[in-house]
Amino acid sequence: MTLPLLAVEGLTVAFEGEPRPVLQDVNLTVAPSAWTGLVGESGSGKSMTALSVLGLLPHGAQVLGGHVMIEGQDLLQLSPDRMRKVRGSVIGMIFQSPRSALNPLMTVGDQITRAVRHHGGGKNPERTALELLRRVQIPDPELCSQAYPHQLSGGMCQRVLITMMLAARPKLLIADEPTTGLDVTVQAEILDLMQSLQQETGMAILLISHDLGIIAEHCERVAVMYGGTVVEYAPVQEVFHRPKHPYTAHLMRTLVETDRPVHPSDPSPRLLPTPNSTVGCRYAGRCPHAEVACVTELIRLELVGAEHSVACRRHAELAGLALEVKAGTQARAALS
Amino acid sequence: MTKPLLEVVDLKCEFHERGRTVHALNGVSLSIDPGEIVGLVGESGCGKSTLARCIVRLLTPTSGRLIFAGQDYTVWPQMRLRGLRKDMQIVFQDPLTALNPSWTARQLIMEPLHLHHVSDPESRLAKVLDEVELPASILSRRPSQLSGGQRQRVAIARAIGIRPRFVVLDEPTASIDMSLRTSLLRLLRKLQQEDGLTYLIISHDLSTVRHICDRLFVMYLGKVVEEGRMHSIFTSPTHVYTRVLLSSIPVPNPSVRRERVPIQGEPPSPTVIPSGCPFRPRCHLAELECEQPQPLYEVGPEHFAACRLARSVTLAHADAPA
Repeated sequence: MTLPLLAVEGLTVAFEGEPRPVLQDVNLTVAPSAWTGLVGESGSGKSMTALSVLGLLPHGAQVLGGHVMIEGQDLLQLSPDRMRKVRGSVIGMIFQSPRSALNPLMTVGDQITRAVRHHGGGKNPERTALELLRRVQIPDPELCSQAYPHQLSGGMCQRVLITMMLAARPKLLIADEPTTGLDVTVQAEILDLMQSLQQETGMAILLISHDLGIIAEHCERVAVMYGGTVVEYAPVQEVFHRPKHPYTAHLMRTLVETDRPVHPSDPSPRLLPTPNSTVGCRYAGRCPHAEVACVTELIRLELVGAEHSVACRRHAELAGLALEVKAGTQARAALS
Repeated sequence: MTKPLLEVVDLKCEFHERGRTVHALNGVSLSIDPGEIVGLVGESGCGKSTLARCIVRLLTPTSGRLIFAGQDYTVWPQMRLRGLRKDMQIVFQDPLTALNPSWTARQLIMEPLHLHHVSDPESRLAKVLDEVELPASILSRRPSQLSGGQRQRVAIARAIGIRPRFVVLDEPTASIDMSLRTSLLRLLRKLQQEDGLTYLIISHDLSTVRHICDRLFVMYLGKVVEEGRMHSIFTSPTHVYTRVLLSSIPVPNPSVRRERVPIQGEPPSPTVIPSGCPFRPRCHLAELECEQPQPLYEVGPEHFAACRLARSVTLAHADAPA
């Protein structure tokens, strides 16, 4: 296996005064020149992980332990000044709701030119900006560069953000829900664009999304987060077809279940609070296979297959989970 | 045959801004039967929300007719509309901006009950809370203290508390999590089955409407380009735009590679409406005849599409021996 570009090791982050850390022992690697997916429901810590990597944690959040290694240096040890140099040039980021990530009072062209200049963009930053706009397939770059963000569609704003990210030529792009809220046709175009830029520049992409469809189509490896920790990390085929963690198996089952008409008598999902302690499995409260030991023992992400890690103490006994998913599919197919 | 609950006939709506005319709706016609759940999809800017606002008469259309339960209310004055709104409600896209931030959930849900003089509002409040599966403990909270799913339920409780016959939902799942989406859709289905509610669900997300709606309308640039039973549209989409839309949905299976129908250019501007098929400038199969207006051709039982390709489907049907 190639050396990872980014390695997050045992990252633990907590808000001041909160008994339970928002991130608990997060382990994750991103291979160079590949798409890695990060999935989980809202509040599972996906965005918090991204913000920790970028050193942009919100006020009141503190790193309690762990490392974020990229190119042999631990980002958590860097001074704010050095970290500012890492952002953009080593790690780029694009966000959900691209319009709110842009300055509403500056033309798009000025904002891109600024980014180009900041990253030492040659003799004529204005021209570089236009070239970059052309590279993200904006039809009329001259016209677009004179526009203000509110004059552009959401899809165009996301292209502008991608342009600014490209100006810095990062090695890793973190894309946090980059297409949420965009039309499906525009979503497909943005993802296509990211794919071609990835191939062209060889950058790695960490794609954060709750849409398993996007993850399945683009990512090579997927990390599944639940309750502030990574519960499973494996190649995409493994995660979708042979999940080992009960939560992942549940996710895959809901995929099958949402693919049929809504029925009013379907049971509501059990939403139980996760235990407050730092030991025990965060999913134990909702897990149909939980035992007492699942709550009292320390549970960590372990390598259980060639490239497959899972944080479940019963994963070996529950090897039939995948079969359950399949059986469910077949049963439903037989019914319909 | 049942009489439709709502009929929209050749609705047009134009806005004038800075010397330009925005043609938001260009002759939309649709009818909804009582007890139906109907979906309306299309990309942003296609006029979905304008249509929703015209239907509940927050906007007055430029031309066309709106008929609810046999009554033409297209130009009714505000006072008269209040009576109609007892039967027709709307749930807006973003509950955080649609709910008064300084009111408690109790005040928010009670307001329509008082306005429409519901007898014994307290017991109705308790019943509605139960229906939308909200605990009474949230009644003292304000919108900012509620989760996204709870806010959406408060917004729905406001709409259904007065027992309307028809509810328009504008992007009901846009602001909530995937796991809550299923429970919200299940709630809508339950209310439809128990109270015979009729819905129009507007969304840009096909997977939301797919499993809850009985029928689907596909809109493009202020026009309905395809309509039909949900199953019929998903199994045999006919208009090129519908095919583009359906083929753009990512498939959550890494072993499946989907074939995408291509789309050209940027989303159109509603200030300049092309002649004929509105999708023509972006269609990879467009031909000269697409510049002529395309009627809705019948391509299957209750399935219509306004596309020249649909006409050949119709001909094929006619040629086939009965």
